[in-house]
Parts: sequence; C-alpha cells; structure tokens
Amino acid sequence: MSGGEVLIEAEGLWKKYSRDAGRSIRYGVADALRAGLGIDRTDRLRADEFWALSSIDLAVRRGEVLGLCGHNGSGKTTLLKTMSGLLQPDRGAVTMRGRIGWLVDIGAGLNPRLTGRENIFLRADMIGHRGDRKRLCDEFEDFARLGPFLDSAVAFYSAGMKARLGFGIATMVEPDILIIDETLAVGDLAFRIRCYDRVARMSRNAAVLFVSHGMNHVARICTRGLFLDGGRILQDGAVSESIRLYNASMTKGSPLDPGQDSDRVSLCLRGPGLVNQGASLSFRVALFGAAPGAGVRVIGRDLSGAPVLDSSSRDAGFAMAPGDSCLDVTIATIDLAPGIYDLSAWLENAEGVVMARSAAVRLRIDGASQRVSPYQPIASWRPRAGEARP
Amino acid sequence: MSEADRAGQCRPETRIEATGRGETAARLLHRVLRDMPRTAAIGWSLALRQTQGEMRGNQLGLLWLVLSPLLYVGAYLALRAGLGETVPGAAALPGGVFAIVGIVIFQSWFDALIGQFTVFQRNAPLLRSIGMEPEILFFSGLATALFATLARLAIALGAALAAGAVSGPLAVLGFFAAALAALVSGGALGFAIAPLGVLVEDLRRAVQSLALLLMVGSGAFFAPAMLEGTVFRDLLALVPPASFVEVGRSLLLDRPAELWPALLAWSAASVGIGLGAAVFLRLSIRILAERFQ
Repeated sequence: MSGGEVLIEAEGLWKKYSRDAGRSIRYGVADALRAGLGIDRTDRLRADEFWALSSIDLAVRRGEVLGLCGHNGSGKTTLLKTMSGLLQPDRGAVTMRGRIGWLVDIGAGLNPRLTGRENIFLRADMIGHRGDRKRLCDEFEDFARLGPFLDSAVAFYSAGMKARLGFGIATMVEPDILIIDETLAVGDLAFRIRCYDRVARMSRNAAVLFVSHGMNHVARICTRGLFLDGGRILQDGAVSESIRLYNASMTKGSPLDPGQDSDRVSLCLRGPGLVNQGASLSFRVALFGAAPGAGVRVIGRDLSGAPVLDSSSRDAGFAMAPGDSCLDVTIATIDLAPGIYDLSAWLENAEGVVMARSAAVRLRIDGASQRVSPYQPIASWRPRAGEARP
Repeated sequence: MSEADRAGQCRPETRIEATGRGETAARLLHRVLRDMPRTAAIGWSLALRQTQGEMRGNQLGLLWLVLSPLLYVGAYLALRAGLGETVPGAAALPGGVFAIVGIVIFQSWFDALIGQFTVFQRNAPLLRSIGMEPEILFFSGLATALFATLARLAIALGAALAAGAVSGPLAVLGFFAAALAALVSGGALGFAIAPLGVLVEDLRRAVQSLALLLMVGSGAFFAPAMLEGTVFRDLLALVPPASFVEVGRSLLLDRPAELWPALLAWSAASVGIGLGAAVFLRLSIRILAERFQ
C-alpha cells in the first residue's frame, strides 16, 4: 500500500435497503423526517429490509486505485455511493478529503433540449467553474471530439455521443477522489482508449474507487483489489487475489460441464471446467445430420460477450463426413487471460453460413496473470548472444 | 486558488455520519446561510439554462407566460357580464383590472409553489448522481417562477395604467414588492414539501387540485370588505396567498390595505419555513434522493 494521504475513510459502515418498493418509500419518508428532526433512525432491520453493507472499515489513499470486485448484489455500487457521500450510512461514518469526481450514471442530468456546449457550461457553473467554462469547453472538444454536434441539441445525439458528452463533463475538472462505476466501456475503441488514458492520468494524484465486472479492466487500472460478497469485505489487498475470488464465485454452483445437446450440434469439455492458464484444453463436438461440406467452429467469448477464441475445422483441412459424427478437439496451449469464458460450437454449411449453435459451456481459466489483454501467449524470449544479464 | 476553491466547492473534509449524529441545526443553518450566494448563483444559472431549453421545445414561447392569466381574466369578465358590473367589495374599480392584478399576484405565489415540485422532479437524477445542496434547486425553481411572473406583472401594470388607476411610482414599487414576496413565500412552502412530493406523487396532485380553491379563497376576485362581519373575513388571513394579493393590489390601485399584519406574519413564517426546510434537507436529502426515480 502506498504511503499517500488518506482521502477516503470508512469506519464501521452499515447500509440497509428494503426489498419492497412501497415500504422503501414509507421507510424513506419516515427516516428523512427523523433525520431532519435530529432523531436517530432505527438501525435495526424492519420488515423486508436487509443489510446491503455490513461492518465496512476501509481507507483509500492518494495514488491508490481500489477495484471493487463481486457479483451482482454483492454491495459494490452501494459501497461506492456510500463512500462517495451519495448515500447516507445507517451506522458508522465516512470521511472524504478533497474534491470528488463522479463517473456514476454519466448521462444523468443532461438536458436533452440544450446543446452539448450549453450542457457543459451549465455543469461548469454548477461545480463552481463559471469563469473557466470557455477553457473547459475547449479542453472538452479536444477530448470528446463531437465536432459540429457540440452545438446540436443533446436530444439528437446517438447513445455513444451522449456517453462521450457525459464522460467528458464528469471529468472536466481533476478531482482528489474519483468514483468510477462501469462507465469506461463507452463509445468506440478510440474513445475508450482516451477514457482509460484520462483516468490513468487522473488517478496518479487521486484516490480512485473503481467498480467493473470486466476483470481485464480491473487488472489494467487497479493497484489494490477488494472482494465483496453479501455486503461484507472478504478480501482486501492484491488485485490478482480479488480477481481470482471473483472468478471462483462466478462459477460456484454453475454447471461447469453441462453436456447440453441441441438438436444439431453440441459441445462438452473433456475434463473439468477449470484449467490453468497455459495448459491444454480438450473438448468433444457432436454433429447430428450434418450436410456434405459442413464445417464446425468453436467460439469462445468472455463474460462481456466479446469473442476471444475462434477455431474452425476447415483450418485443419478436415473434411466432415455427412450425417452424425463426433470430433475430439484439443487446443495444445490455452493462452487466454485468467477469467470466465463461454464456449460453444457453431455448425456451418458448405457456404460458411451458420446453421446451428450448441449450448454454451462455461470454462474458468485460473492463473495469477494481471496483464491487460485477453490473449496472453507464452512467447519465446531469448537474449541476443553476449547480451544476457545474470 | 481556483474559482471553485474560493466558492467553497473544494471540500477540505466532508464527514457523513449515520443520521442524527454529528450535526447540529445551528451549524447547518450557518452553513446554509454561508453557502447562499453560491447556491443562489448556481440556481439562477440552472433556471436560465432550463428555461432556455424549454423555450426551444414549444412553439408559442413567451406567450405561454401571459396566456394563462389572460384566460382567467376572460373567464372572469364573462362571469361579470352575467352577474352585473359590480366588483364584489370594490365597486369603484374596473372589474377586469381588479381581477387581473389579483390573479397575477396569486399566480406568482402558486407558480413558485408548484415550480419547486417541477424542479425537484426534473433534477432528481442530478441529486442522485452528483450530490448537490438542495437550496440550489430552491433558487432555481424560484428564478424560473420569476421569469414567468415578471411578464405577467407587466401586463397587470399595463392594464392598471391604461385604466388610470395607478397613483404613482411608489404604488408600482409596492405592487412589485408584494408580488415578489408572494413568490418567495410560495417558493418556501413548496421547498418544504416538494422533495417529499417526488416520492409521494399524491402531494403534488393534492396541491394542484387545490389551485382553484386557493385562487378563489385568496380574494383574487373580491375585496375583503365583501366578507365584513362574517367569519370568512378572519379566515381570509389564514389563506397563504390572500394577504399578498390584497396588499399588492391595494398598493397598486391606491386603496387602503387591510391585511398588512397577515402579510408580515406570512412573510416571516415563509423565511422560517424556507430556512428550516434547507436545514432539514441538508440532513435528509440523501435518504430521499436514493429513492428518487
């Protein structure tokens, strides 16, 4: 852990929610009246309530990027919002030191009838930078590159353009505390790269709280990891350990080798659904009633749905027999990043048109790597003769 | 030091404790008053931009600001034509002028009240996602209502001048002051209930349902003298906008004002309610905002 000044501190933090919308509003009104009158709220659970956060003690220092990992409902976003002052804790306290920048729900508060430029001016006024708004707008133009659309009403923006505007507005001014909730995967690739660069630059001098289900994103930008389950901190420390726990929790109780069949093509793993990075991977593909000239592909996707693996029987020069057949497939070295993937087999006709897809089979790859790419080949590294160092 | 730092945006330390602990009302009130120039400036800016956006979204633009009082006057004149020429309790005045002056003051009060519901509803995502002082929305709602009110006040003034019923500049000044006091009073009451109204839709509906009753009860169409000797004369002072309507109109049309004490009491109460609501919301807005849709 770095020795920078502590910018966010949570002491004995608890937060509860109600599962019932009607009761939540009644409790909210009652709690707000009690709070406004200076009366302590009840910190016991009422009907339909549950603890979303329990007994959280945490400190984040300047220069630290804390990645919050956990499955849906584990309390990540609640912790993020409570630690950034957007939610009121039910027990305990949060202390924040410095200016806060929120990258949470980045489109919130954009006025669709105003132009992008007017929305920027308005937000600059709201954060106390009225005098700087021209300069901030110029910097925004360089970053978001909306071109002439900057002077069009936001109502006419595409979703990607709104995301650019929202992200640019949220990061107009460099904060001491930066809160990021699943908002880096916006816009096209070029813009995403600029988003990462901007966050990386800001995070050098800020305490950053980062929530994402993309473990490659967590591995890429975080210096410290935290794994949450049921509103409790189960691990706080190395990012690789948080990712490992997250991956393990994602496969817990799910069918690793379901062997599901569709009518025309199926895929099942030969062996457990857990392999080490760099090991070999074997599976079996069964085809039913394949036409002459058919081919089969095995596609692997990460949890965001992005394809990371694509292998075709045609590349192997393999001529498929018509009718029913069974293929054993082995990938000698699985070079994918540690994480969770879904594999499925695609049956193609002679023209390469996909005719059927198997059910997906979940695969977990274990390993300690924290590198950024989903493809992580083990290359041959040799020093040139005479340049080897001990 | 940046402008934001000077304005107090750079928070050296913020501590949020479980509700009811760590903050005293006096300390919060001090903070509300200290932040007021900044929150008012941001509220004004928010209102300007949002009004600008609204104007783009409709074809009649500024005409909407005057259409509503003109329609009320039309309805009143039609009624008067049916019932006779006499303005109840103010027989010497032209009925149309009497009515429009009363209506625009009432509308100042009511628009400011209902404007608080609108501004909280519209900006709920901002409250939820970036956190900001609730007084910003109070000032924004107030400024939006002010834009509408100024145009209407000008119409009423024009009608009174045309009828030769205005005694001088002091009368005009008094009329504007009463209308602005009505605006602040309505806004303060709205500020106290509108954040709850975002969660409980019935509150807004209840206020809207009472609009006609309040307008009639505020004396927009009659003078208090009409009620002399009845219990309604005393009850009139309890209707929040009534004293502003009566005093403002009396000042403009050079008539003796009867409800001065009620106006002063309502003005003081409104300031107290507004500041109390600001302190209350500083303590509770997070609890409400996390439930805003």
